[in-house]
Amino acid sequence: MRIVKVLIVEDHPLIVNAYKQAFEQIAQDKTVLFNIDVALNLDEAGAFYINQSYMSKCDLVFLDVQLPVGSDKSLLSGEDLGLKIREKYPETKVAILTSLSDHYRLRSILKDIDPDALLLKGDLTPGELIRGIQSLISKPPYYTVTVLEHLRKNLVAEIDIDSTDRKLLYELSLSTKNTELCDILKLSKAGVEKRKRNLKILFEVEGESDRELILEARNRGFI
Amino acid sequence: MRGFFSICHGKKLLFFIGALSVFLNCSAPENNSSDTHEKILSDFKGTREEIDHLKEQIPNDSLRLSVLSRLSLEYLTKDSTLFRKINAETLDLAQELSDVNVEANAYWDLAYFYEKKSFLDSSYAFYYKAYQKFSELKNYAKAGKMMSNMAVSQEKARDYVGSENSSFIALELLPQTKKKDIYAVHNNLAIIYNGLDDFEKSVEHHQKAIETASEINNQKFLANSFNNLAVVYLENGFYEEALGNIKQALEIKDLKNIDSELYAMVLDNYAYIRLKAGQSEDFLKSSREALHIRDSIDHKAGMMVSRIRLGEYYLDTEDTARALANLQTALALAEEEQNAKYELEALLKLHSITGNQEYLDRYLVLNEKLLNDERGIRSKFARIRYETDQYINKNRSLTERIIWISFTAVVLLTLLGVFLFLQRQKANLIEARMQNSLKESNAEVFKLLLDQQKQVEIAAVKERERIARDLHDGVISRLFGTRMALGFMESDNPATETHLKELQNIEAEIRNVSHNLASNSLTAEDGVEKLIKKLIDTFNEHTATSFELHISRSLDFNTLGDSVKISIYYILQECLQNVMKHANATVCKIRLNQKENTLTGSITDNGKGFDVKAAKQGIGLTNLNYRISDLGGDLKIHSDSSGTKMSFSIPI
Repeated sequence: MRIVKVLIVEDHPLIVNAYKQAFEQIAQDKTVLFNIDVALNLDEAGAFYINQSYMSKCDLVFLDVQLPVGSDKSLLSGEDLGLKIREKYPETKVAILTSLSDHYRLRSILKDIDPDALLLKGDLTPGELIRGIQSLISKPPYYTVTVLEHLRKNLVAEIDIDSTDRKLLYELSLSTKNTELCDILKLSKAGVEKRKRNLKILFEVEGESDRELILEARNRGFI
Repeated sequence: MRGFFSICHGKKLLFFIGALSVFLNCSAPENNSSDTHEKILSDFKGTREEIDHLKEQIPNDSLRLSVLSRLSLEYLTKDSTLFRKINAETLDLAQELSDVNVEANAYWDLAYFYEKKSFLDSSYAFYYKAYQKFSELKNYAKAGKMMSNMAVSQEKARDYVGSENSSFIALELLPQTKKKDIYAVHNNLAIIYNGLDDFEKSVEHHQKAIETASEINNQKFLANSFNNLAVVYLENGFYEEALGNIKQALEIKDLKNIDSELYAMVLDNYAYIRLKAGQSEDFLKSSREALHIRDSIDHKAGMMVSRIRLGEYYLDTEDTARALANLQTALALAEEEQNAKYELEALLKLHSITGNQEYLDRYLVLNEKLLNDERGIRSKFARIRYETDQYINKNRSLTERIIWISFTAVVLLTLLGVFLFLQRQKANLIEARMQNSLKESNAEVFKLLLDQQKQVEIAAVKERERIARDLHDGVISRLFGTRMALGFMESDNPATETHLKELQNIEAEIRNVSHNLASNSLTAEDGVEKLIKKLIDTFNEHTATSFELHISRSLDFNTLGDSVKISIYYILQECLQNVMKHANATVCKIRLNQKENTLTGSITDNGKGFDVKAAKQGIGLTNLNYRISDLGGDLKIHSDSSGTKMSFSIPI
């Protein structure tokens, strides 16, 4: 019987419960045994993380992206923790559970953390979760359907834009003011305008407003 | 030419003809020889009635004046009464028309008239008036001539000192070219000095007169001066010199024909000087010839002189009867002519011959009267000068006062003008400052409005984001957790799967809602856009005009600077107000567009239009222009009776 050490970082007890039930069901065939630990917030997660002997033996980490910030602010989000684990314990498989669904965030998660599983809450059902965990153990990665769609869109998109452009689009979508944009992107005002103009040409909304640009970018899966 | 010989007063009652007057009255008009003018002059019969009706005949004042002036001159020597009337009319009209030149000439005519009538004081007075008028006209040649005539009048009244004064004034005034007049002055001066017993000066001036006469080669003047000089020498006992000079006078060619009166005088004097020099042989011949000539030309004064001298001659030759006869003839003539000098002379001589006390008494009475008269005239001269001078002084002080008052008035007006100008400048400055501050406060108000709008917006966004986050992080997560928990529950109910699916849909919906809430700010309008819409709404509510706003999709208010936003709002406000107040339009379309880096806008109405040029002066449009050009933009207005289109562009 294979023993899998699992750390669940999740602030909703109900979801923790769901995880547990999924693990139970998988464990019914007795081929695998799950040794589950739970961190209900980032502080607890942090405590596990700095425990090297624990972490080195940990096989699976389930991470919720949106977690309340820890009291010592050493960890800012599930994403942050995921990155750190990836860096320090590359052997540990990381699964990300999130309710985020915008393309930009998905892309950045996929790009930065490259999780072994990316589970969107909207897609997730008990069956899906079980399939996800099974895939994760046997042959990762596992993505839920929305993530797969996103990946496909990006794959077929002819538009190739750099991270600054992506960030610009993302900030625009958040209605960030021009003045703030300059600070965030570390660009001059003229630079920002130039990038916007180029983006509008790329997205074929030349001469239209920023709103059109954002809507089009969202359509094409950039945000 | 109107020349005449005045009679000279010789001192010691010696007889010789004195100052030669050669003054031509030049009061004839220089111009105005129109046909009517000439016709009236030639038709003039010389009656008082014609003068009275002249006004009806020639309504034109200046033409009438010129006619009168001509007539005045014409009748000066012809008809005394008519002359006086014409002259008075001329003077009146000239004064009325302020024609100083004609007035001066009329005075001259009048003075000449009185001089001829031996009214020395009146003559003097009018010469003086003519002198003043000519001085006023700066006609110094004529003013000098008048002064010279005054000197002659004074000399006749034996006001030698006054006459000397006047003569020198005349010399100063007369230009060098007026030789005849200068000659007359010197001649007069010589006579005066003779009268003042200043022999040397008298001779000097006679010689100057002779020089002047030679310069212009005037034979008559030469003869006159030689004659006069000879008399001066004679009076002072220089018989040789007297004889030399009188001979020179006699040698003047053709003198008898040029001027028989002068010739007779010279001849008589020649005879008399020779008699005095003890060469009495030819006396009777020359003297009688002179008397004969004088008789023939009826020269009364000359006849008296001749008679008196004959009387003297007969007395010398002790032919008392003839002497008496001649002297009595002279006396009778003098009495008849009221020639006091010769009367006195005759009386004195008769007394010395007869020893008759009656002659002496008459002499004394007459002499006394003459002296009194002369004194009277002299004092009159002084009074005329004094009164006129006083009048002038009064005028001068009045003029000075007027000048001072005018000057003060000008200064005060200037000060007032400067004061008003400064006040105006100040008012303008204040107005400009007020307008500026109004503009600033307008901008301030709008900025506050915008800020307020922004705050509201931010608050709304924040609130939405909070709700979205709550939904997302809380509700969805819990829903998700519950669904999962339910999903793991064993259930045989086939509906369970459907419900779970439904729950998943609800989750998705809430996520959507949350997402929309969060990203709503993206599609949200900028504050200024809201304000503009609100503005349009307000106008639509309160006016009959239907305002339609079209904002191009390419225009993103978010990207505009505050100053541009404020300006757009202000421009729209101003324009819409204009449309509402003046255009009387039913529809007004407002378009806002953005092309590259330029914001363009147009406000088009179908109203009655306005005069763009006139309206450009107005404060509203001036402010608009100012505001737009402040941003480096451009405002164009086109207006006619079918409507108005205002378009502007602003670089952003």
